[in-house]
Amino acid sequence: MRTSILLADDDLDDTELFSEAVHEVDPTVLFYSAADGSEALSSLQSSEIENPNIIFLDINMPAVNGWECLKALKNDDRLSNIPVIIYSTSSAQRDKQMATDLGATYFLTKPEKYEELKKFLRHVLNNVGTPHKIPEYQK
Amino acid sequence: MQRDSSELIKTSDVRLRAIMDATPECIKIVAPDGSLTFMNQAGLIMVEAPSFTKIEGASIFDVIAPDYRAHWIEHHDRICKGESLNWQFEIIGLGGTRRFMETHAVPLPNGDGTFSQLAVTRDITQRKLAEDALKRNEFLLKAQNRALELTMHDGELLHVLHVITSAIEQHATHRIFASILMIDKEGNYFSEGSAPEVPRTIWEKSASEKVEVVVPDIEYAPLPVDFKNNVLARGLKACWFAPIVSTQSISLATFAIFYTQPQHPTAEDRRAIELLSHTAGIIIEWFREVKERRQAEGALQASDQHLRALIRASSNVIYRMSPDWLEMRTLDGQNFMEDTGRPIRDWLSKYIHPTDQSRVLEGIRKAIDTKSVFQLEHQVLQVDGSVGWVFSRAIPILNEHHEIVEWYGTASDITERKQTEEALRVAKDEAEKRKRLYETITGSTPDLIYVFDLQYRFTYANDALLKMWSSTWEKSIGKGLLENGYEPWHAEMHEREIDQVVATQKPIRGEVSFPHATLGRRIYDYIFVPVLDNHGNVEAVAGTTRYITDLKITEKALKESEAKFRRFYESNMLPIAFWNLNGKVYECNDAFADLVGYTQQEIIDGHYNWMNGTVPEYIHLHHENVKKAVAGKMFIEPYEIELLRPDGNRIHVLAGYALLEGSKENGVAFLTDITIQKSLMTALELRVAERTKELNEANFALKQSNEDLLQFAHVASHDLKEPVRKIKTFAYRLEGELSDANDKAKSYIDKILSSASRMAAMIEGVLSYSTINASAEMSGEVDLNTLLQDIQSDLEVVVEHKQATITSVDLPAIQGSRFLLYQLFLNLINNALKFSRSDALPRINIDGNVTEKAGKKYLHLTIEDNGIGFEQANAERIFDTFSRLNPKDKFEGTGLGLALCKKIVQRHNGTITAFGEKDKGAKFAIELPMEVYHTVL
Repeated sequence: MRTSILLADDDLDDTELFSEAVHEVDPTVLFYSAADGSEALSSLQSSEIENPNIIFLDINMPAVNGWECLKALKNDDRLSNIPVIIYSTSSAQRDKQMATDLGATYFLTKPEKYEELKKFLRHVLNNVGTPHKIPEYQK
Repeated sequence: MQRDSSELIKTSDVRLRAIMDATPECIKIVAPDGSLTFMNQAGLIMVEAPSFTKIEGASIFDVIAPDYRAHWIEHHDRICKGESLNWQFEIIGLGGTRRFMETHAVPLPNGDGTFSQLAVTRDITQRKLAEDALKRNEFLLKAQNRALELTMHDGELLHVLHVITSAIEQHATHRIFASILMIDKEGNYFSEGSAPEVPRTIWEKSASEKVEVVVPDIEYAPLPVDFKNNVLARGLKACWFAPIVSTQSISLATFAIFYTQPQHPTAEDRRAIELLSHTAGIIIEWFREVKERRQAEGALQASDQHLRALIRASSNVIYRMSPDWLEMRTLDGQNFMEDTGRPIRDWLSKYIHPTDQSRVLEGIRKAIDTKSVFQLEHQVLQVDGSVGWVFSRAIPILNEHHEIVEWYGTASDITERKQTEEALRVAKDEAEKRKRLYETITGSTPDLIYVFDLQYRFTYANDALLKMWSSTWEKSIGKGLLENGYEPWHAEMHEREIDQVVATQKPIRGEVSFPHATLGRRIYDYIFVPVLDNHGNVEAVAGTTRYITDLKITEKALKESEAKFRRFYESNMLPIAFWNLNGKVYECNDAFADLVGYTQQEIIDGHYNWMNGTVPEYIHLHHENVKKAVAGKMFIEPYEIELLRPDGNRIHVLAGYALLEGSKENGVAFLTDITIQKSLMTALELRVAERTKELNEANFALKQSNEDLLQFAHVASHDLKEPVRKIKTFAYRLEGELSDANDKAKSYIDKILSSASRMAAMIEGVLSYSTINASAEMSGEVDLNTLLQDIQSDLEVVVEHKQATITSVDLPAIQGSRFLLYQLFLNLINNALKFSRSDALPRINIDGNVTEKAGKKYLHLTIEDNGIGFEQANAERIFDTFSRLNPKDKFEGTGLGLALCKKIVQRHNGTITAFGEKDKGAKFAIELPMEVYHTVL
C-alpha cells in the first residue's frame, strides 16, 4: 500500500517545494495538499481521500489555522490516530509547547535549506509504520 | 480583676460573718474615734444590746466601766497607731450587768493609712470569780494554819486571835473592821481586833443565845445613842455579830464585823466567818483548857487529847510517825482515809498515791534534815478507793536534847479545791481553744495575716496569704521570704523591717506592690508588730496586710480622668455637651454654644435641642444612634450631620456621644466642626478624581501603545521571517542550480544569503525581546548546573572549534524561567566565545556565591572572559537595543543579545552590570534573587 501525506499550507511556494522534496525522496508517495485548515478537514471528514499516513500542518493559515485544525483532528475518532507534524516558519518555544500540548507528533521549523527538508522527509517516510520514532529526528 | 476580688471578698465576708456569729466571743471593730463599726452576736449579748443597728456608730467607751475607761482609751489609741495589745477590763452592759473581760486587740488597716481596732474579747467573769474565791479560800486556810501553829507553839492568845481577825479584814472585798469579843471564865471582858468597843448589851444576845445579830443600818437601829454616835462618827454604818462556840457548843466569844456602808453581811464574809469561827472556837477552848490544866495538873496527856480534839476539828486526818518516818504509829482517818490503830510500815503504798510517793519522800527527807515542819499537797488513796488531794502538815516533836521523838501530822482534804483548780485549768484550756478559734477567723479574712520568727521565717500564714502564694502550709511555713517567692529586693526590705521591729519593739508599716498568684500585681498596705514574751523581749513579728489596689487605682484614675476631662471641657478645644434622651442639653461648654449658635443661657433654658438644631434630613441619624445607645452600645461611632443654626447657616459636624456610665437617659456629646475639612475634602476629592481620570487615560494609552508595539513586533517579526526564509531557501537552491557559475555570480549569492541570515537573526532577536514578558513561567526551580551543562553541550562544536575552556563553580538552584535563563547564559557564553581574541585561546570562568540582605537570598554570578573586552565607558551602552561596539563584518550580531540579557535579568528582579578592559576581557556581574518576588514590568 502506498504511503500518503497530506500538507495543509496556504503558501503555494512552500507547498510546491514540499511536494518536490517528497517525490524526490519517494516517488510512490501519494501527496495531497490543502490551502488551509478547513479545506484539509473537509476533505478528510468527507472521505474524499483515504486517511493519509501523516499530516503536515502550517500554523499561520487563514480561516482555520493550524492549531484549530489540530484540535479538530484530535477530537475526531476516525482521524485522531494520524500522526500530525507542525510545519511552520516559527521557531518559538511557545509554539513548540503548544504543539506538544495539542498532541502533535513533531514540530518542524521550516528549514532554509532544501536538502534539510529532504533529509527530514526521508526520516519520516522511513518511520511511517512507527510514528513514535519520528521525534528522534536530529538535524 | 475588680469583679474577681469583690466576689472573693463577698464570699469570704459571708463565711467570716457566719464564723463570727457562731463564736461565743465578742468580735468587734472600733474606729479610731471609738465608734463601733462591727460587733458579732456574742458581743451584742455581752453588752446587752438587742441588735447591732441599735449600737452601730455608738461610742464603745460608754460601755467600759468608769474605773477602766481611761486605761481602755489609752490602749485603744495605741492600737490605732499600730500596736497589738492584750488586757483585762470591766464593762457595764446596757442592762447594767458588770462583766470582766479579757481582750486581744490588733490594728486593722483601714486602707487609708489609719487603723481601727479589731478585738476578740472574752467574758472572763466566771473565771475571775472562781479565781478570786480560790485566792480568798487559800488566804483563809493559810490564816487558819498560822493560827493553829501559833497556838501549838505557845503563842499568846491575843496574838493568835489577831491573826484571825486581820485575815477576815484582809479577805473582805470592801473595807471592814473585825474584832473578837470575849468574856472569860472570870467574867472579864476583852476584845481583840480593829472594831470599836461594843456595849455588852448589843452583842451578848449573840454570844449567849449563839445567834447572829445583824444591824444593817446603825443610824436607824434601836441602839444606845452613845454607841451610835461613836461608830457613826467613825464612818461605820452597819454591823454584824456572829457567835463563836466550842466543840461542846459552849458559847465562847463573838465576832464583831463593821461595815462602812449600810448593808447585810456579804456572802464572802459569811464564808470567812463560818470557817474561822470554828477555828477560833477551838483555839479559845485550847487556851482555856491549857491554862486550866497547866494550872491544875500540867499534864501533857490532857493537852495531847485537847490538841487532838483541836486538830480533829480543823483537819480530816491525824497521824503520828516515827522520827525516821519508817513507821506510822497511828492514823485517824475520820472516814476520809482508812484508820490504822497499830504501827505499820507499808503506809506509803497504803495511803499515798503512786505518782506522788517520791515527792512525799523527798519532802520528808528535807523535813527530817532540817527538823522543820513537813508540808506538802499531794494525792492520797481515800477510804473508798478513790483518789483525793490533801494538804499534809507534820510537826516534829522534839525532846530536851532537841531530838525528834515523833512527828505529829495533820492532813486536810483539799480535793474540792483541787477540783476547782482543775476546773480553772480547763477554763484556761478553753481560753486557749478560743485562741485557736481566733486563728480560724484570721484564716478566713481576705487580709493577709502572718508571723515571722527572728530568722525571718514564716511561722504562721493565714489562708489568704497561702492562696496569694498559691502554696500550702507545709510548703511555706518555716521558710523565708525568698523561698516563698518574694523578689530579692522585697525579701530584703521586709527582713530589714523585721530587724527594725525587733530592735525598736515598735510597729512598722508600709505599702508594697506584690504579684498575687492568681489576681496579678496589686498594692498592699501592711503593718509589722512585735510579739513580746514574758520578759518583754520580742520573740516574733506579726503582720497584717490589706490589699488596697482597687481603691487606690480607682480613686487615682477617677481623679485623673475627672481632672483631665474638666480641663478638656473648659479649654473649649472641642464642643462638649451633656444631654438627655429628649434632646435637651442641660450643660455645655462655650465651644458647643458657639458652634450651635445659641448662648449658654438659651441652651440651658431649652431653646436648643437636637431636633431643631439639626438639618431635618439628618435627624433620623440621631434617632437611630440614640436607640443603639439605649440598647447598651457603649460608644456610638461618630457620624456626620449638618447643624442648622438660628442664623440659617448650615455647618457640617461630626457628632459622637455616649451615655453616662450607669445612666439610661443622660449622656455626653462631642461635636467636631468639619466644615473646613469638608470643603477641603470636596476640593481634594475633585482634584483626585480629575487626576485619576487623567492617569487612567494616560495609563490606558500607554498600555495600548505597549500592546500595539508588542503586537507589531510580534507580527512584524513573524511575518518578516517568512520572506527572509524564502529568500534564503531559494538563494540556496539557486546556488545549487548554478554549480558551474563563475565566482562573481557565486559571491553575489553569498551576499544575498549572509544578508538574509543577518536579517533573520535580527528578526528572531526582536521576536524574543518582545515576548519575554509574556512568555515563560517564572515560578519553576532551575538547576543552574544542569542548565550550564546543556548550554555547553549545545555549543560543543563551537567550543571545540575555538579550543575554548569553560569552568564553573557549583551553583545553586534558583527560582525562575528555565527558558529565559537558558537564553541569558547562552547569550553571554556565546558572546564570550564570539568576542575572543585571535592571540589567545578563549577562557570563560563562571563564579557564583550566595549572600543575604534584608532577609532575602541573592545569587551573585560573574561570567568572565579573556576576550577583546571593551572600554569601561561603554559598560552601560552595551545593554541598549541594537547597540554595537564592533563592526558587523568582523563580529556577527543583531545588537539585541545583551539587551535581551538585561531584560531577562530584570524579569527575574535582578541586576546585570558589565565590566570591561579593552583587549583584556569582559566581566558580567549578575545578581539574581534566589526567589522571584513577582513584579510586572
